[in-house]
Amino acid sequence: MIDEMYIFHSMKINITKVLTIIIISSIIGLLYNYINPTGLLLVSKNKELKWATDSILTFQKISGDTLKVKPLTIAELTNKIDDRKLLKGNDIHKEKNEPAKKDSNENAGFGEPLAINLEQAYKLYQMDVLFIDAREIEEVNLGRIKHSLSLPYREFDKYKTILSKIPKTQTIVCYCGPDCELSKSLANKLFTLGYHSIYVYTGGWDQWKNAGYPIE
Amino acid sequence: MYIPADGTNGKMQVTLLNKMKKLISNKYFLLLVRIILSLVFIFAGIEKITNPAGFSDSIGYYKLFPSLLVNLSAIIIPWIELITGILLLLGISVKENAAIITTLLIIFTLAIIISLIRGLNIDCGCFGTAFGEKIGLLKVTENILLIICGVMLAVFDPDYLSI
Repeated sequence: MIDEMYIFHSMKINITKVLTIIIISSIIGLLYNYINPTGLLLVSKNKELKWATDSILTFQKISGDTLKVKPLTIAELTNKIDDRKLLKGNDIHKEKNEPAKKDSNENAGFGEPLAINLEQAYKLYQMDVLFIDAREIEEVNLGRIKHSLSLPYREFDKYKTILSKIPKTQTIVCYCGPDCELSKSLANKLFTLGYHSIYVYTGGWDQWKNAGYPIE
Repeated sequence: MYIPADGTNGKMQVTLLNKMKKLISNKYFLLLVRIILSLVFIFAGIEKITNPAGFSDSIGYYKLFPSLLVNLSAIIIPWIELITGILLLLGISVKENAAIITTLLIIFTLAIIISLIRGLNIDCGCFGTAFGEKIGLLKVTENILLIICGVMLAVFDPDYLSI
């Protein structure tokens, strides 16, 4: 007991020094952020996704049919992309890196990625919309939504060549596991790359599997 | 457990404690601890400073802090880490810097434990976006070891090879 008292007493931390270090560090941080071109806004914007309404889903179906460049269906995509090879992580860099077709048409997008629930995701699935799995390969190998493509967000640069085969007008649903942020991050990334019809299925793999919808 | 009637077990425990105390108050051992802890924090700070947006995302994923504070934390915390790390390495105000580092580590560890209990499968963000580490028990263990290092430095104030 005496020893313990001695230890706490012997710490004798100078609170003024602690506060000085914290304040100086904070000032340097704020100044650096001010001059840094990639600096952050002091107050972050609300990063929560907006929810898609069912009317938007219907609109997408109609606009998909009327687009000049018809979005590829899952079946067509799987013919073009050997995603099995991708899943195993083999030879992805050996694939001929075709540049993405420049599409001068305006995308039928909605300004930002939108969140969708299970029901809406299944509706889009029935419309043959492309599903992209943002989880890691090891997790995808244990199961995924049937015909979905795998594009692990954490290894985006390694696997991004797959995007060269997906037109910018393609409507895409991103998903990951439950309570994960990978799908949202991937959706934001794809959005900045010009894919403007992006949904994030927030329920993720577990909810889809539990609902008994098609998996593989 | 066998406890001898003559109290030799108690004596053994005292001797063991004294030996441990000697080891952890050894100046070379504390210097090593100081270097390791400071390098970890310098590296973590630099990684986060080079990608503030990534670190801001990582903080957001924990869903623990109000969105108003997310960016502010992402701007300030990396610099506190870097500066305390450098000061610790140089041996300037070791107790104070060790106390700041330990407090940060305790906050980070609590955040990870809460997120694990809530079943979140998120990136740790411990070293910015480097390594892409996920939160988990391994991360908690690592942090607890670092907290022990921090407490040792705050208690013993090693001034060996200090400026």
